[in-house]
Amino acid sequence: MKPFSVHPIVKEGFSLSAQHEGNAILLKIKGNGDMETPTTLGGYLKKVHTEALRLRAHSVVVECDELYFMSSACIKCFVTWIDSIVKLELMERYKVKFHTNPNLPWQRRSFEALRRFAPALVHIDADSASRTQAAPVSGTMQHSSLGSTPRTPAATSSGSVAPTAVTRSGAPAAMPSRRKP
Amino acid sequence: MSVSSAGAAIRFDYRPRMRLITSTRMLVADLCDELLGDADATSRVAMAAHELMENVAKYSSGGEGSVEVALSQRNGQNYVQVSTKNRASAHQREQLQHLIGELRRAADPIAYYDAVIAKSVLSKGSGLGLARIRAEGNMEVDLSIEGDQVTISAQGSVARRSR
Repeated sequence: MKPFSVHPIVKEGFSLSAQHEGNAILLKIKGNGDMETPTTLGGYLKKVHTEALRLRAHSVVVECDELYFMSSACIKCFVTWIDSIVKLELMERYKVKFHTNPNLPWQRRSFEALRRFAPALVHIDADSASRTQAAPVSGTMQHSSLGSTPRTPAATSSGSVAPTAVTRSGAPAAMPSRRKP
Repeated sequence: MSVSSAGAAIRFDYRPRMRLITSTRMLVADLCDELLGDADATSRVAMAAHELMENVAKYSSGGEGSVEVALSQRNGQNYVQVSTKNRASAHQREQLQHLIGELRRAADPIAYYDAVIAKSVLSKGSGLGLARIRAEGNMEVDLSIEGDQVTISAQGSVARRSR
């Protein structure tokens, strides 16, 4: 069988890469997804979808550890992609698993909306699962148990230094590291 | 930008460019993080600012607009208001009135957001931004129109961590 062939895309402040691992495809999204991103993201998700079907992948794991922001236009790209999986025959469908960064609170809220869109297909990883309840309808924004955004690359509990953020300018953005479970 | 014991406000008048929007969101996030010290509240305010600024970039007539973020205290409660101002065509003003009217009438912001997401599959654009602000940002969205000037504001109470 022809090997997995979706090549990485690196743009200023945003990058996409994917690889085939066993029964899954690992999709890494990094940077800031803004108004200029949807064309790139939408096209990439289509390619990943085609490959997932060809390789009969059981799941696509979306690694969002270094995804610092996504606009609603990017969320729409995910909706379109997930909808294309929903429309497949049952046997052809694959799962979409979001591996989120609990230090980026927007991810929990946004990916939870995608999970509600297709609850049988979309999963959010264990790190964020305990915090996946929807935002309160009214009242004061709740205090996060996650703490504020660190200003420098944070050392993990293992002593290693967390990945440095990508910014449009290319300068380290001092974004938060993924907290260990 | 002004900062006092009662609150802080920051305002930008600009011709929206995508890079400027992302930079402004980061600046807003930095300001909120400094003043509120709460990652969750900061991310909501920054998201609202970004969505509103993208709307200005997409829909403003004449290509200019402004964004203002104000943090204030009332009766011991902290509030944030993010507002954008721009010129808009009569058609766009009418669409906004309809959209924001529908958004404000929806009793459950999450259910409304979910419905907009489901409906977006059939539309070309996303149309999710304002519903996202209300549902994910936990903020109320308002519209005011004066002539061809449109002001959209998102406001809500925010937590503040003592330092």
